[in-house]
Amino acid sequence: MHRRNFLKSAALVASAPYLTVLPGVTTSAGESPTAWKLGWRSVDVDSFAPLPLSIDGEIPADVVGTLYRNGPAKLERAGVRYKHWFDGDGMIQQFRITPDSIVHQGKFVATTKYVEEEAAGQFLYSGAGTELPATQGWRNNDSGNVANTALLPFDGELLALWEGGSAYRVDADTLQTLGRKDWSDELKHMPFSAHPLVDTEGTVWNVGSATYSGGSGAIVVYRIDTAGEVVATELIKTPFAGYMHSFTMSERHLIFYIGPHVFERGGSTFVNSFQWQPDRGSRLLVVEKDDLSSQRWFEAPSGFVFHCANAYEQRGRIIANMSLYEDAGIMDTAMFGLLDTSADAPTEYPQFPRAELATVELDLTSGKVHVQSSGELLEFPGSDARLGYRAKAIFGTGHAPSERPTYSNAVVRIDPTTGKVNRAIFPDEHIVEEPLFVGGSSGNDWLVGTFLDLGREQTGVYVLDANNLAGGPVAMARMERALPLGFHGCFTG
Amino acid sequence: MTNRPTRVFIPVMALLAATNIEAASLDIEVTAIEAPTGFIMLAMFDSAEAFNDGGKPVRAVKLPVEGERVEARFDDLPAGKYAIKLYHDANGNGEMDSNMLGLPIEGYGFSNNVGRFGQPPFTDAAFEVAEETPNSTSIRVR
Repeated sequence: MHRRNFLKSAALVASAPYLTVLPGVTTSAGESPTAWKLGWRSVDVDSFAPLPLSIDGEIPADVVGTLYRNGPAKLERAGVRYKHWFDGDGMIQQFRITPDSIVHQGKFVATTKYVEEEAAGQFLYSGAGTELPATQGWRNNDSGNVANTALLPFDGELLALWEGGSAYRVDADTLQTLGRKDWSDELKHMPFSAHPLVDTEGTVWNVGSATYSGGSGAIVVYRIDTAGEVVATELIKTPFAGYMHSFTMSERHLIFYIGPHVFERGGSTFVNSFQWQPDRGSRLLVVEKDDLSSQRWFEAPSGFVFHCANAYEQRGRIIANMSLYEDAGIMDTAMFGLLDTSADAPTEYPQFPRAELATVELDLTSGKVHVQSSGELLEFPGSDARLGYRAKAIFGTGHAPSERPTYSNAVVRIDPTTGKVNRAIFPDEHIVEEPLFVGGSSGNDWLVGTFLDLGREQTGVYVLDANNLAGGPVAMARMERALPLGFHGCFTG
Repeated sequence: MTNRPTRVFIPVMALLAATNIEAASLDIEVTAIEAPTGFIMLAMFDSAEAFNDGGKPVRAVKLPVEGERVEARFDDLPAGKYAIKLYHDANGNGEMDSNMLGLPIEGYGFSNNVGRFGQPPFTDAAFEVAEETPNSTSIRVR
């Protein structure tokens, strides 16, 4: 399939009749069973020089701007390979999009760790999920800061975000690192999640998860005003030290999901210190935005969440959408398997329970929680921020219908009210990354993201009509450069 | 690491003049200091009780920082086992500053360069000081 005109083939497979011939798994003729490992190949240069992409289709005027992506890209040094996807040093990929060109360049975030290790030519610190012998001890949370998870446009710059420590400031144009973002002495080296949320007033909210704090962990809530200063923080003890990666926000509340993936001292690494304890169930914490000391806990069935979508309030209830896993297999098993290149490593893409988009309803009167899954696999959720807290549609990466899904090979749109699903299914050997919603000025809206073509060893950019995913991409661009898969990005117009 | 220094640094020459030739001495090097400001606050202990539970050090010095490393020398030490803890009082306020979670935001270190999450036990940080031989130790600030 990959020898045919790509745009045509992409559009074709997005239409229903082709579903029957889509393998959905890595069984197409000619595909190596280990081809997927290209997505976790280490980058051995500090930066990628500007390289134009070849474009198929038409770039809508609305998506003229810059697409940025962040992800772990330094996975090996001096013959030593990290074991977990969280470990790699963050590299920012920049795609400058004009009406008739897309140009890529990339650069590692110059964290303290990265600079020291570049000079030494070897890893000096253990990673979040990898214990390395004879490494230097961590001085504080930022000793292991790889700034590899997400990006937030902030104060004319980009913040390269991790979750265990500080954000790093990066020049949005040159990708030069400008330094660590210290909000204040009291907040130095504090955990700061990769998923800050900007509300309709422009206030930035974030959480920092400190599962290792005290006996049962704590989170820190941050409120950052439009002048870019932290104006309020709240330290909240948690009932157990469950892993937390993101949160969501309704009109008046912040909503935190804590699954029973519990930090217990004594693990060889941070990741290995977590134990899945489903008998505890999950907890949801609801905090009033206007009074961070007003906190309420809810009990819910056990589950695991990396990413929350939107949340809103309706008749005494909070309705929150999130990508819900039945357990933490993705974090404590699959993310090791993805990096495993040892001689006895399985050739097959790791199998693990996938996240389904789920609606979690919290009844503020009765205290009851109702969880309803959509039944549709969806990760990296996003929606149209212009609508405020409600969402007409939730977008994310997903899969062609399959008994045995492997990597993401589709972009999915779900109407959270009706449950109606639309998909753009990519051709064989294409791994699809997070779609970002770009609202159009002429009534059309777009999804922009990146993909990795395993067959051609090319990374590319897709543009989809957000309201017509099955129509296939309106533009696809690709380059003779294969980037490792990343986590999250942002788009600036 | 809450021990306050109980003595200021005594110039090496003065110490040498008072040295009992039967006792031991120890040269200490502190490296990897992040910024050339403030002081290295260093305390040495001769027992697990004192080291582990914030007891009284047998020696303590306050070393002005002007570069990436400082040195100190202790004389007149009885031979035996010792362990050192230090912190870099970068802003000179006499305290090891911490963030909202109580985690240090100034550099610190332990003899044998041990300690992964928090303070190591005395047994891990302890080293031998012998009579009539040169004794030295190097501690990396973290």
